[in-house]
Amino acid sequence: MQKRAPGSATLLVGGAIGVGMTAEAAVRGGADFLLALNAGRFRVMGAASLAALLPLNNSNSFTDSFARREILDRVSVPVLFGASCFDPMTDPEQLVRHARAVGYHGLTNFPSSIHFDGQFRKRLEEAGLGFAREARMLALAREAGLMTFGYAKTRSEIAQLVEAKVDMICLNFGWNAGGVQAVAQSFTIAEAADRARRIFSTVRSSAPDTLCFVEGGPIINPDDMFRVCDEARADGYVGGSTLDRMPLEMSVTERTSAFKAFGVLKQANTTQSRELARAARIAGIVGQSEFVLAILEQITRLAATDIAALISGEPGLGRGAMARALHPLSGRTGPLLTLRAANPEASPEATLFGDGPRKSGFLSRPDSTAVIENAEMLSPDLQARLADWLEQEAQRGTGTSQATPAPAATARLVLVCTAAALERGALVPALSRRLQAGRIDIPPLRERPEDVPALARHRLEVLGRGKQISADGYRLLLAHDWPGNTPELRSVIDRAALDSEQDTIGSAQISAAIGQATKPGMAGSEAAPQAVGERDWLVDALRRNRFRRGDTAAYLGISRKTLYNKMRRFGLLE
Amino acid sequence: MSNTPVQDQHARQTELLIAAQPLAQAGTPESPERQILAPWMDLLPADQRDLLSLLPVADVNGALFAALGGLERAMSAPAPPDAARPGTIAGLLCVDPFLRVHDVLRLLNAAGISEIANFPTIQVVDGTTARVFDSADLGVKREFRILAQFARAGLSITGFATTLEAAERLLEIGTSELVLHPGPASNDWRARAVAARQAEECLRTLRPRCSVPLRLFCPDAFGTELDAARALADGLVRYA
Repeated sequence: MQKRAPGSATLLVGGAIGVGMTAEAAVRGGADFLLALNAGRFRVMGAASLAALLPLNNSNSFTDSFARREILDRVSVPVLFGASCFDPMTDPEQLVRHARAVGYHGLTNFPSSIHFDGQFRKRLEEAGLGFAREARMLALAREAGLMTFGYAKTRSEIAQLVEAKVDMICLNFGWNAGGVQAVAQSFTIAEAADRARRIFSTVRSSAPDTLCFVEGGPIINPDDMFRVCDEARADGYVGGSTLDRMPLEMSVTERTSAFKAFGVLKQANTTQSRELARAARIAGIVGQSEFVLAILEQITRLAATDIAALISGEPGLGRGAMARALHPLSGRTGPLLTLRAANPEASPEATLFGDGPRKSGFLSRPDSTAVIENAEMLSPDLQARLADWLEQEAQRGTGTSQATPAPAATARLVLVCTAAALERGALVPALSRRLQAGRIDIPPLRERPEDVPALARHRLEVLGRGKQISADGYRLLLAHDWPGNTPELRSVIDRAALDSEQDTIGSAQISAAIGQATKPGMAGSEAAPQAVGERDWLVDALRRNRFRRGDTAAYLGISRKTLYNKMRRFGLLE
Repeated sequence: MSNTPVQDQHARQTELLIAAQPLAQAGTPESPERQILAPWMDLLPADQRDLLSLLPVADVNGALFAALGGLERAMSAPAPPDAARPGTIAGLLCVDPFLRVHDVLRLLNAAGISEIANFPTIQVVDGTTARVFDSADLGVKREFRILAQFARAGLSITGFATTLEAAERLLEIGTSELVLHPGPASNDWRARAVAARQAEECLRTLRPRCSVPLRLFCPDAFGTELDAARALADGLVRYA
């Protein structure tokens, strides 16, 4: 492998993997070398990479077992063995001998002590199981003619790797941010780039032949990688979660969704499904959750009767559209009449019953549908009168659950209310009781996050730019509470699509769009609790170290400058 | 609630031993010593087990399950349960992402064990790493969540805590006894003294508000630094 030539845009890419299928795919994609790591195996088993540090097995035996069976001799690029030096019963010499004997092309120090800090790390170092042991293993590997790839996080660790004459040094920024199992981050992309630039500058001055790599933390896509590598003049990048977990999450989600949608289309051949599909189209309902299917079935059944309906839910869920959809779905030939009770100029009672100057009200129009929006604004007296009217209609033989082929003599009444109004008893009990049979409650979007991807995809189809959303983007969409329901989601998708210059809308665009759509401090904002958590963490670390910044920075494993920046960001400098 | 250590049930006199093999006399009327069963101890060097029991060197839970007959055996052939082992506490790594509470309950039931301990505890990992573990749901929150599930299933919990906050959380879960863990011992006597002092402060703070026995875990490398804390504890926990 060659150092990156000045000005060259070609970077070396290493795949940190744990299963044969991923290894072969990474090589087909152009990976220059592979690192066989236990973390890669745990990822495909459904755990976070971080499980690599837990006492779930002997890391060396575990990694060696799958690497020999699934990776070695199956790929055309060098495979380096992820060797752990934590086991005091296995000397670094043994690890190097074993790697050579098995046929690995090289060694890397993973899982590593670099992932620990605080008192636990101190104890590791005291026990002789820390980074010096890893650097020694890599030095021995190099002497034995193996390729060496050294993971490090701090300047001190980098210096030890340089001293060990390691072939490739990888500055690790922590566990990856992206995907469903993202972990908390210490660095932004800008901070990572700045840190790598300064550290690699030092490495190049003392070991000009050493290849410099970056990995992890905020780098979750090729743009991030190139920005960091370009600013730091790094020779390459190593991807783990970014090469397997995140793309796998995205592709499996999308393919499953496609198969699921295909099944739904096939089902549409049946009469019932055709009715549901028609109801969804007319009512403008998008989604694939059980909630949505249940609502569609309710509407379809309700449309076949003359039963009065009550549709409730939070604003932004399409209650009005659903209420109006009952009219064409029921096949009524009379007019669709809408009364907005919140309109101060409306005379609800006269409009509905034809009192006063009106000769006939909405309710007496044959085969019509009378929709009352903001029904909670109707006076109690009018509500009581509506209840009486419904009772009379029921006794006249209408309002049964049987379909009525003959035109109805009067209107079907459909009330639209907010869920909050119903909860506080805004409808008089008599009316509420009369409407129970035809009541449809639309759950808010936060209670059916499985509909969010379908709504987002539908919006993108409406926009018609052929864009898609990345797995990270979906993660953010799924994590958001959507207090503004569908309009807020539409607004976020519109904004993110506008901001995205590529075909795939990434988490950065989604995050920015959610930030714009959500007022600061508003419930449902994902950023707020994270920020609070980080601040609390910082304050806790400062307290533990008696507000000595040097000690706190060391305790947290970050530079004094980063600590200072974080303190400034959280208003802790005053 | 008393301001003095719990005196009954031999608590003050008896030690809770952590052992790799079942102690023959544990829990018998003649010899009421209790033990935390930790078969992984046989896989790790004695002088570094506080560190190594939290590192990818051995399968901590796998060793326990194997010693109890194996998860597969407990799941596939519901054999008559072993005789009850009243003095035996199963030491579990609760943050194991592949641990299935349902299966472990069946295994413990088949083995006649009705007590568990969060030992080894992920609380020993501190600093930024602890935060990262938590954000990946492999940290302290998961440990407490799993313990709470076992408690709801009727198991008795011996809760290890490295901090006052953790101790309070364990009391909320309903731990039947609390064990203060001073962390892995440092080679530096000053660091050991600080850890011992913190354990002592925890014991002092917990004493008036705690109705369950308060024990102190004494890793081998700790010496006289822990004397003050020992005096405040209802009993000790140590490796056999």
